[in-house]
Amino acid sequence: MLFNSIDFAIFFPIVFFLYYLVHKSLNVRNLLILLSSYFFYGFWDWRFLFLIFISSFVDFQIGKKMHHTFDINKKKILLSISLFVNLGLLIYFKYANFFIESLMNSFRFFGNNLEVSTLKIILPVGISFYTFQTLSYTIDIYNNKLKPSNNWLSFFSFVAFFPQLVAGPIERATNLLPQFHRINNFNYEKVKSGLLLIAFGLFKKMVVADRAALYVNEVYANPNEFGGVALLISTILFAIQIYCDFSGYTDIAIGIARTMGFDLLKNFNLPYFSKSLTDFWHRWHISLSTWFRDYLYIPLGGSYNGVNRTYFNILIVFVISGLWHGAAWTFVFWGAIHGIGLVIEKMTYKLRKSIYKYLGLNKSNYSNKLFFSFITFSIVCLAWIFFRAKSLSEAFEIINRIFNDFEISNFLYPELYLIGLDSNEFIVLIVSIISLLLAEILHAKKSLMIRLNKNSLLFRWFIYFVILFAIILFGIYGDDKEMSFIYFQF
Amino acid sequence: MKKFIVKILIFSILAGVVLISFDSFFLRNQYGDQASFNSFYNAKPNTVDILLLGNSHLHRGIDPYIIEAKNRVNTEILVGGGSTISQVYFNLLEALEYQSPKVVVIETWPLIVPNYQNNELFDYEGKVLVNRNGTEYFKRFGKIKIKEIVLTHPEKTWYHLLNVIRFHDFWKELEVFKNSFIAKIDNSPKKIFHNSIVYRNTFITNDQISEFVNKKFEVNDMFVSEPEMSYINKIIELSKINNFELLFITVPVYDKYYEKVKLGFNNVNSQILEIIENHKNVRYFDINGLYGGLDFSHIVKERTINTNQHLNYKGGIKVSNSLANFININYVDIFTDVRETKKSFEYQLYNKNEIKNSYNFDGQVTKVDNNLTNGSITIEGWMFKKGLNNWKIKKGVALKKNNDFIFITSNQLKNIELQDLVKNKGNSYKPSGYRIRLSKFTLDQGDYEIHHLIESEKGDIFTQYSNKKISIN
Repeated sequence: MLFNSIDFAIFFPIVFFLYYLVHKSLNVRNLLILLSSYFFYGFWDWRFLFLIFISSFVDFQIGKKMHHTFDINKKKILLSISLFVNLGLLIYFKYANFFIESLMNSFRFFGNNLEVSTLKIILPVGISFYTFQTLSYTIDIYNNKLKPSNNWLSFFSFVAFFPQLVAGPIERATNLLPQFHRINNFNYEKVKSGLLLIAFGLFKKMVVADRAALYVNEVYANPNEFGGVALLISTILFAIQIYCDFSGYTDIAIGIARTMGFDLLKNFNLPYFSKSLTDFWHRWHISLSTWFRDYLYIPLGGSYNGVNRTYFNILIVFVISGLWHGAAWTFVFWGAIHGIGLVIEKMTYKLRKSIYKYLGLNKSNYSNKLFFSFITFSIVCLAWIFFRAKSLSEAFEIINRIFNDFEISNFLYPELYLIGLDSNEFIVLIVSIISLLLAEILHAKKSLMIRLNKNSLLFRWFIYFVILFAIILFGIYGDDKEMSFIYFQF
Repeated sequence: MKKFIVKILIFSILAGVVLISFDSFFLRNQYGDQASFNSFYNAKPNTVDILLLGNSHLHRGIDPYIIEAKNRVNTEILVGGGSTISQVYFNLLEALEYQSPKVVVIETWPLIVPNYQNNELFDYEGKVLVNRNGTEYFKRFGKIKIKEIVLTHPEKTWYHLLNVIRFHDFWKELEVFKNSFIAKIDNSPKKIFHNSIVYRNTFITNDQISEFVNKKFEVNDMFVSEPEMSYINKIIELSKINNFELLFITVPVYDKYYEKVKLGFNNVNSQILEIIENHKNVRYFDINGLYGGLDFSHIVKERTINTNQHLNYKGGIKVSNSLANFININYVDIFTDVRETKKSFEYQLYNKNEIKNSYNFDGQVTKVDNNLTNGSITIEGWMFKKGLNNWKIKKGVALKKNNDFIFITSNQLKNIELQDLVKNKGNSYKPSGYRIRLSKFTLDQGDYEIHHLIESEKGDIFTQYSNKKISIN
């Protein structure tokens, strides 16, 4: 079920009102959450519900057993079973064909022909997200950071919690699980701010992301037909699209959870204002980057085993992060670019610092901030090309064209802005991007909800109406036009 | 929680009211269909005597002002280009929510038209098929619209229910939005002076005539299918429940086409007669059969020739008069009260008692050229209404042959400046001169009185008989 679909618009209010009818009885409430979450997921394909069930069941049992044993070897075995089951399912459903194809390509590269037929596998929506969420549970218990849940209903609800089931934020059991053990009374302010966040997320997704997608899809469908300027514009628009798509989803997820009294992790913090790649990964998909930090980077040794090992660990983390996004070499490359970028940042840290000092550059200065943000955004966009392109060769061709087929005068041709869009749509896209940018900057300084609450009811309702009608009039929907969220495929 | 529910309810109601208020602005206006619905909705409740329902053939073929003028009744017309009989049924249901007509006239082209959609009416999933210019969108939000949308768009009912949502991206095409807006404020399917008169004064060309002669037309699909019959029966049932007379009519097609498909027309006729034979309140008037189709000069020129021909203004005048006369004869007992109908030029010109020169109406026909060697007639003259700003009036000319054929035009008048007139009468007469040039085929043979017509800025109408005549041989 898509958040931007009428099915969800019917589903959510029903769940919401039922939720507050039964909210005082913890077990009934959690049962409602579990059933509605399974319905939400099963609406897409009920057959894959068993995967969530297996994952939940295995980790619930292992968690309990692990907690009650003091034998470190037994603990390791239990953890291995959890890793095997969870990662096994993930690898089978997501990477099996990728590995088979890569193997065949390797043989072909060395002149041998290995013919293995690929498997007919459907990728279950959200498998990467809930697998990582359950893994964090068993790993935390193994590391004695968390006590296992004794209530299977709470645990199963935690794994399947529908607002963040298919595209995050990837919640830690330490943050979310205890919330399933407490009663959430109706909180008017929380519900109000949750609803506003949902509306804001829908605006990002339906008005900005999906309209930018019209341009991006047109260009990236046949990049060889376009010159450098169109490819550059479409890459920038893709950066905006993926941000609005994913952060829009996260806003909706956090908003829904908030209306039900749950607090989810923050996942984005103005990532395109980052002044370095390190900064970017503190602001983009925060729940994933912290997951990798805690469950991969630190276990690999983090930065405690010498400089070279640190660089190696960073690279490993980002290559795997790329692979986590999708079973394709383009994603591996995307991860590698970020990894290499971070390594270079670390390697040149002292050098850069002395250069800044020599040139008198102060990072907190507004124009310098802008300069460093521009540089970071450019690198991020370069990496997005690999993320969006259909193949590595296509990504390299796009980069080649951006640099070698670039006529600056082409920026003056109006038709360049109207690929996949008409002039009115382009104006709406630009105005909505600017409006969004202003709203996000204002929100970062002080919550929009707090700002709104300081104004009269009339003004607040006027704003709500503007958002509602902007979505209705300028949103992309209807006649099978609803676009899925990009991160659903991961 | 209570506070939240109250606020959510108020917010939803407000949002709903706003959405529904703007609903009729979000429409793709086709052939004036939207204006026809607007005109209908603007009529006072329970004042319509005759309701006409059908598709473009009715819209182009029947002039409701003539029916009104000759029967002294109030008439409304609800049309939708390409409507099927199921759409006609839903239009009738909607109409009955607002009006209680005494006679409902249903044009039967939706039953005749030989295509799958019209014959089958339902797809294999049981969904009611509708024409893409669906009149379901023209309806006001209410139970009939909901009922129709549920049947016609079962897969995405929510999306089709409100035009603001269904046509939400109208802002991309400002021209379409503008047309929709104009149709919204342009209430009548035909303003006092016919808007599309020039277009409707065309007729099919010699090349198209040859094409009609040479083209083969199938008659196999010309029949009233089972689903169509079920909707006719539903309409008849409504006529009993709501106590109105039902009149099925045909609107003539091109005679060369009719010759080729007469068998199909006859097939549909006999089926309709069979369905209605046991219903005393239902009649059938086959105007097409009466004329045996109409010749080329009555059929509007369209881009391509096909089964779907529409009448031009000349054809419309003839057919409307036939229908008006039929109603006059057959429903004489029904319309006992004399209605205060809309004051139209037709009303004044078709009713002899009403023809009187308006006060302070000054005018003269200065030239009548009916030397028809080049196939056209020219009339020149001037008209002036004292007490009005004559720069802002709309001028027209009516050519009255008899009480069954009056040709009214405004858009074909070209303003000319008559210097002698201005010299004698003053500068205010500058906008008075006119010239009109018409093809002789736009008129029937015979002698015509020439009448001057003026519509003021406010919509008041004034007429003057010029005491001049023109003969068309």
